[in-house]
Amino acid sequence: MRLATAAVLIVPMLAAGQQRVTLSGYIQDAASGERLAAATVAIVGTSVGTYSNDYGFYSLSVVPGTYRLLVSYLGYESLDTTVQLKADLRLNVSLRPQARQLQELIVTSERSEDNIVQAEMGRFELPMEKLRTLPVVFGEQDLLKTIQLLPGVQGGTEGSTGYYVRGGGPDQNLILLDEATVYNASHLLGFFSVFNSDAILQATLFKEGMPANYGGRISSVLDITMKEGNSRQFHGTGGIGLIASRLTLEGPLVKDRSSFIVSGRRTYVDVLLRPWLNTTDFAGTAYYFYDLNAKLNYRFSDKDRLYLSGYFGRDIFSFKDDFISFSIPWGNTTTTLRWNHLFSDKLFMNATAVYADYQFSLTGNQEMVEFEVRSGIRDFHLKADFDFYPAADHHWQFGALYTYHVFQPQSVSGRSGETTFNPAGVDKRYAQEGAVYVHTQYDLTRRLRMSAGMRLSWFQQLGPATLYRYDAFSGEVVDSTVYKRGQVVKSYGSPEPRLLLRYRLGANDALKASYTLNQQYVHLVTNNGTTLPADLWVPSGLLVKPQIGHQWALGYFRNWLNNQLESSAEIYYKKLLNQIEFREGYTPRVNEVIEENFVYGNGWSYGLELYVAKKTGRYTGWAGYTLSYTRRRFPELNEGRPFPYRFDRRHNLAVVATARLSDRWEIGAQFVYNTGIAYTLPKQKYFIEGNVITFYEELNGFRLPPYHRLDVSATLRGKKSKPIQSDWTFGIYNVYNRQNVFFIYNEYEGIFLTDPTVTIKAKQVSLFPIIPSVTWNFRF
Amino acid sequence: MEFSFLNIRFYLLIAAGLLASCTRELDIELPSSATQLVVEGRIETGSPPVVLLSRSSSFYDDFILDSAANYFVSGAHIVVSDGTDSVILAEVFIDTAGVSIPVYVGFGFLGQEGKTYQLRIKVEGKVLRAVTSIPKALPLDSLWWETMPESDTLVRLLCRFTDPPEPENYVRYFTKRNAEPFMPGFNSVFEDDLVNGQSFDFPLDRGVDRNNPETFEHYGLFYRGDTITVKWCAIDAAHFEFWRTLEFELGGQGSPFAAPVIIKSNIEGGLGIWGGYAPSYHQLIVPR
Repeated sequence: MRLATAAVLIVPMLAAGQQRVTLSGYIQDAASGERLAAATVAIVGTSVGTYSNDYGFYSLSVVPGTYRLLVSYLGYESLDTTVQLKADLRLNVSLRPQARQLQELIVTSERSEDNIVQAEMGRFELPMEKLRTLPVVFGEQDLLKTIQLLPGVQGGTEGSTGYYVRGGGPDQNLILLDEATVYNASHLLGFFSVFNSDAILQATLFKEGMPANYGGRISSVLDITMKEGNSRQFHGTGGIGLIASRLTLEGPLVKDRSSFIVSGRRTYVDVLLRPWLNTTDFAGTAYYFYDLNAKLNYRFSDKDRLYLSGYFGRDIFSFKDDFISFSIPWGNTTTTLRWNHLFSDKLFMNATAVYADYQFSLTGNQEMVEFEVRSGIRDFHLKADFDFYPAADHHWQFGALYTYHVFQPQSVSGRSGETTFNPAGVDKRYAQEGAVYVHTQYDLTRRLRMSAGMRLSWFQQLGPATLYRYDAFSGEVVDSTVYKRGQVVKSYGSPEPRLLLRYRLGANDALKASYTLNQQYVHLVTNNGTTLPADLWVPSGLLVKPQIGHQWALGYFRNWLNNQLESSAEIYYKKLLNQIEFREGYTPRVNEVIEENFVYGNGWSYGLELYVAKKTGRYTGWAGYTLSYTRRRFPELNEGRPFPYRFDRRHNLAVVATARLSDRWEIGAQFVYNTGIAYTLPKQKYFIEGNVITFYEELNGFRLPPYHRLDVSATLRGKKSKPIQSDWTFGIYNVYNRQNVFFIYNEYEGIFLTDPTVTIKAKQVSLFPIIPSVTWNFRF
Repeated sequence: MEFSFLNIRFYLLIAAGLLASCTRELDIELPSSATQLVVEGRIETGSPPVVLLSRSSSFYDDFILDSAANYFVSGAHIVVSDGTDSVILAEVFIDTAGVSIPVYVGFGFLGQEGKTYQLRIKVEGKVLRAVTSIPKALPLDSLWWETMPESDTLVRLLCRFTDPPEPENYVRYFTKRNAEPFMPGFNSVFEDDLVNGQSFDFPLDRGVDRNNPETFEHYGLFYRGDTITVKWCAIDAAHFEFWRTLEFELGGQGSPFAAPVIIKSNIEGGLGIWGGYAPSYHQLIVPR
């Protein structure tokens, strides 16, 4: 496999011998000067084109001549221009954001053909600006809720930001915020994501065939870019919503050279609810979260640019009464320092250093006992990425990266008067991870384009570490192996190839196929089908093997009405190896070596995804439908029989539509329908040795009722002329007040063999009823 | 310490509950499945086979104590065979707490070490089958006790056990305090896959009556002055799997965070267990 792929990668190099000139430059927002990533640069009338990279840089090498160039980016007016290329040319392109005027809708220009030109499949660009008019719960815009509306992507339980891509688990999605891994992307048990929409420029989701610079997760990649800040003028934006308020400031530090952005968000639902809460059983409970994003950039020259960006967010839950008080803060920190350097018109480098962590802690005291619980993960990450554009239809990406991980398993320590217990807690775990990669895109024939990549990854658990062997009966340690600091405990490594092919059928359609292999070395195992803040990331090591994901996909892509409508039909098959679940009957305990409670198995998923989207014009929106099957098989679960994955939802439908009614009014609506999740409910009860035993016939053998919901929104924009522009967004979540099931529990009345009658009833808890919301946004 | 992660998760769930708008009875059809026949059968070295036959009830049906007798199945034709000899079990009725319960006993047919026993039950037009074996007994090497720090009354029971060199030995044990019956602890079974062939010391938990939470107090520990009897039984793999999974299930009951457990029964055509025990008895008197 390795050799074959290497050969495929070398072929395009041999074909690159002709005389060429290079057109290169940056693509930016004309108003703010921010660089635009993933804008397309196409030579009209050919299939030659490229994307700008994450830093807005593009490069095209072609034989000298005159070309009609189309530069486009969603939400911006396209630039349609003719260039004469006799020698290398630097062309920085500024695109104007689309004015919200009706006349603009009449403008007919070439639309992007990306859908049928590029070899990529399962890739979605999500510019944050375009998502603003979609309806959302409590009026809080949320990127992660929007991606759940794409085909092949599912939400978890009601209101949750957790997402599941093509039958994969919640830990199999790599979420990057300015290249830093975000380990827990949710606030408040997943009702909100940590991504403040005011600070986010755009996001790209890959369900398959992710370029080889991405790795480490087996189901998807979500690459989120923070705004850079306006380098021309000082601006402020903000909003006041039902549960949170936001404020963002941005502007130039040195005009056209340096800019900054600072963005914050905090909820105040706790302040609003406190008077009411204090009259209930929940008196003394407080909860809030906040997010802080900041980014700074400095352009030394067209060749060198430095970015420093960071995110800091915390959820804080606290409780206090006469007996017990505690405070639980948890959240992520990320810091990214990047240096962009242009070696030549054809070679771009980005060097990155990242610090990222996720920490959970709990401190409190109960009747004179002070206690503390900690867990978390911390990463130090270095990376160098290169983009090399030897010819118009060649793009090479290559690079290397290194990460040092520190894992803090849940550990409890405490103190009561003079006595301390368990001061050391559970040992930390250490690991290092590295990869080198190369990815290229090349037209093999006029119709056939190939995008292929190879990533070689390795992972090592490092000492200090102790492997305990337990007596299965008493739980006491009978043996242990001690590894010294820095000593390699266990190593893993693997080639991870990706191959995508596009075959152009006609002017408006194409066939695509792909194969992707990914390895995942860090894991998050969740117990109850939902991720909780105290859930732990664990490294691969002596007990835990890396997760492996193979995926094959085949798709038909077609554009309609001069590329105004794009559509696709894809089928996929995905195989997941070394999947991890908790053993049957597991309940969490303190200071446990959590890996000892894991069981291992495999999973597979297959399905059909239909998608149609209209991205530009007065009416926009998309509809996605997924028919899919997802199973797991674990020798130690369900008596070894395959069982449906919890989020094995047969049908998924999402329809999203927005319409611009006038210069000032815009309306939106979305409807989702999902088959109910698979759930395990008891079927029978019986007695053994006088104990009531629950008989579960099949794991996840029962279906909750289907989930469906309609949301609507309306946005009223203020007049442009005022110094402070403002808009109002009105929304209604769950318009017809559907009582979707959040969770089920069994309520027992009576004690067995004591009370004359014992009744058991299944109760459903629903989360969000119909919720109207209003948000006021401003900009100056 | 009382405070556990369960609590933390529970509090977080409460936080979610603050937003939760509505709780109501599930308005959908709950799973229904056929009533299952449940076997609770055993055969011990030197004792006749004993079988209790009952039926399960739909999980969401009310459980009425007065009609508990209705759950037991009478009139079954039950045969136990060791391949050479066999016995038809006689149905006798035993009164417990005012309820008369049918129990099937194979009088005169005594369990022997190293033999395999087939169980065949014909009842209500159904046939249930199971196989178990009585392995060779695996006695403990010794038994002793230790005082507990900061307690004048509590003691911990310890034992030394030498696992035989052959792999796949399984044990279930019960303890008896003074005149109380033999009862298992929360984790009454043990396998030797990690400790095969080794000698080691470990504590033994005092058995509990799961329906009587008072017996959970000072879990695992005995008291000064107790006469302790340990019934230490070698069992086979399927028998072990049943109790292992059953105890997982019991351990998770009542926790909203426990994953459901499918109990591994060795009964073909029903639920429950047909289990052989090779007991060895050990006694220790803890002085006052």
